[in-house]
Amino acid sequence: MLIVFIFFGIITISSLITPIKNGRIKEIAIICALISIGLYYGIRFAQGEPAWSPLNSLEEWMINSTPFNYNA
Amino acid sequence: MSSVKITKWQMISVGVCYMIGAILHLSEVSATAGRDAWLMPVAGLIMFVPTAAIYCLLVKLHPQKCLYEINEQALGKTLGKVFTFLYMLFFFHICTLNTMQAEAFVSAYLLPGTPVIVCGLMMTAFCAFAIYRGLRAIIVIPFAFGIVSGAYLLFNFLQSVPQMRPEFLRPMLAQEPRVYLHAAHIEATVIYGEIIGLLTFAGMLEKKTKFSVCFIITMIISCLYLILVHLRERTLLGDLTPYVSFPSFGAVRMIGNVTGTLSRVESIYSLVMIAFSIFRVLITLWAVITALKQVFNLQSYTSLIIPAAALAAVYSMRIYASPNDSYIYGLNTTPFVWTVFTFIMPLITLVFAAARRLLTKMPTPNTSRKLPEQGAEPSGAEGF
Amino acid sequence: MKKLLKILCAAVTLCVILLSLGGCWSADEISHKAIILGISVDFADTPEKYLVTAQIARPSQLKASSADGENAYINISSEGVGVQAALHGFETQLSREIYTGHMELIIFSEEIARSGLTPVLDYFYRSSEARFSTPVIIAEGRAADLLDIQADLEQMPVSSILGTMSNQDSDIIMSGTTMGDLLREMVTEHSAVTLALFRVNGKRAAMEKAAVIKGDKMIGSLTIDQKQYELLAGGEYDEGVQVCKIADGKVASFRIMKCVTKHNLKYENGQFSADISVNITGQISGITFGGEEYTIRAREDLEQILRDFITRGINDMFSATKEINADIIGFNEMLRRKYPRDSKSLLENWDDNYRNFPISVSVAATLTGTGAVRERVK
Repeated sequence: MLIVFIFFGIITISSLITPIKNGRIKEIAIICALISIGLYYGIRFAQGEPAWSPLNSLEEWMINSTPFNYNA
Repeated sequence: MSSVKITKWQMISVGVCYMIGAILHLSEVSATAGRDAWLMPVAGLIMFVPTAAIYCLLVKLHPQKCLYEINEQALGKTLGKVFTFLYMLFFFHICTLNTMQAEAFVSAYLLPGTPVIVCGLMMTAFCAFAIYRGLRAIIVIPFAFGIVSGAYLLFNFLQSVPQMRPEFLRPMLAQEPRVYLHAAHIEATVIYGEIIGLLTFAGMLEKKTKFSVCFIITMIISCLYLILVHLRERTLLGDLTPYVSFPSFGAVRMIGNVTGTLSRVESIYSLVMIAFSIFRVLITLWAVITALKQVFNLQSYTSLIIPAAALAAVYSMRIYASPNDSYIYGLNTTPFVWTVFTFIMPLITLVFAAARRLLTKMPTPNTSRKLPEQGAEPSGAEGF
Repeated sequence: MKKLLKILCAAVTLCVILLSLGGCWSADEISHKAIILGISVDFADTPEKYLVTAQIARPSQLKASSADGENAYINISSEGVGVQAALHGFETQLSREIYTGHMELIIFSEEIARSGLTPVLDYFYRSSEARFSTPVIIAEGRAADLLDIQADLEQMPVSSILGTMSNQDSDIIMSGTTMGDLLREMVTEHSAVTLALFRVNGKRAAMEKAAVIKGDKMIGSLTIDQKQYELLAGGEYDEGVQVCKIADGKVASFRIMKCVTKHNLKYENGQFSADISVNITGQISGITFGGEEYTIRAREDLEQILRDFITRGINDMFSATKEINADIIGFNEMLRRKYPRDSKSLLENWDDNYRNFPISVSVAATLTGTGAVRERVK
């Protein structure tokens, strides 16, 4: 599995090559943001620990604190 | 204006294949409506009519524009980008939810023992490759694939007819009204509502073709298909339907013909289902990437494809603690969350668009800056 | 250079895809699998443990004739606190990984059936390999003994047992109940279902009774004849033989070719009732009395005998099921479907109300043939 991770990691980072060559700062920033978020979830997954999920948090809040759920 | 044009039947095939991909998460409707689940596609469609009208009106008021361009033209630059960003999050969640459910299905039934992340990465890698190759892969393939798979699904349904027990459908419509409202809400928002992804293709439709015609045909075919799926589930599994993780697959596993020569037909069915699920992931991933391009005014989305696909694969592992949690939330809160994205936001957009038209008494205003082309081919990709 | 890099990337990607999608990852060769064809579950001698016995196929011995006397199967047992734990115990005894995807039979002992099937069934219906269409039977005594019987005409005991059950399709005494049928009954309130009950006589097994399962427990049994009448009354009877023993040693046998059963539920004056009409078409297959000449009157008399016999048999069957409070025909479900609102109070206490539920039976019989000869040869 490590090989797969490394392979995809290399491909993902290689997607930075073209924007860096063309000097597209916005694209570089977005790709770095995506890679950072991906790294956070990837590391949490590799460690077997839960990670913050916006959708899960929103739905838990809706169930516990709002009437917008069919359990209410 | 998009340079790529798709025909009416290509649009319909994309929409129908996208809707059939929902089959792996129909268990919420089966669990809620029980023996009347087969009527819920119709009830959901009736509940979905106002939403469908909103989509068709939006496209009519903004011809040859996709969802994101409509947002900016109707709501203005800032609010339009906010809405596009929210849609991007919505499509991203649909993409990862579908990936998660497909992974769960594959690792449970098709490839037990294979690490789930590998299934997810393979699926999203395939989708990334298809997006990189351009719209040809996304548009043309469903047409051929849809016809072949549709024929197989019909044949599969006919195989199950001898074992169906219609008495499992009775008594009909004898439950509390709340049950039907709940099930119809799930059907209208979680199943039908996700068709909003089709609006990202609206700008590519040929000029002579009406979007509303394509949309209506797509919804009718999808409704008929969902009725057949729920019918088969209920008449084969009976009261077991809410207990089974994937009821449509569980029902197919019970098929065996009289002579016993044909059995284990679920193997081909499961492959067809996975293919449709992957197609759904493909459409939503494409919607996410084009939304990112629109929000940040990028010239090309090519370099975003792989990071977005990798993030989708990894996030699908952590979106919920377990795939079964999505079932619980799908029953309770997801219909309300999805209502915001599939009904309220398009309604606000429509209100703004209508108000703009009334106030200016002009056709849709030209923006001062040229918007990035929707559907522009990335470098190295094939075009039509 | 750019083109070379592109070709290299494409080649590497293709290799990764081929390796991943070719099924090489965690490859599961069929020749490395121990294919379980039948499983039996008993209570172990150790308290709070189960004894699980599996019949595993030996593909090398599955030939038309086995001159060296080797069996085409092996039976292997393991104890565990649950079925899963016991199956895990097999891994320490076998050189191969077990595979339950081709399991054709599940056997529970009567003791386990009477104590409750839920703890032992849970593994089977959660497993992605096991199928809802797998037949389930009960063994009178030790379930493991059924896997050790002498299979006279088949290569494996499991095949012999399954053959005995499927043999009934054309001469029906017992219809096979699958795991899906059993689970469906367990989730439906107040329902009951019958499972084949086998008894081991020496080295052979015979299907002598039908175990009545209500909820997840065995609450009683029906004789083979009662089971046959249950199939007649339930509308699941296809073809079969009806032997009528009349007074003074006279016997009339009939071959039933077709049976159409209709259930009519009525709600009149606040009272529910059921009318069962059974229409039988058959042939005379043997009589030990009567004149040599075939007459219409003689045929009508025989039809009357058949009618009376079946009516009496079905009524006796209902008496037996009412005694153990087992609605095996499924009147509760029929009432719920036809009168969903009116039947609510009746069905809430169905366990008590079934005993007094009025069921009337009417049988019509038509004899269309007399076999190969028209008249009786004296």
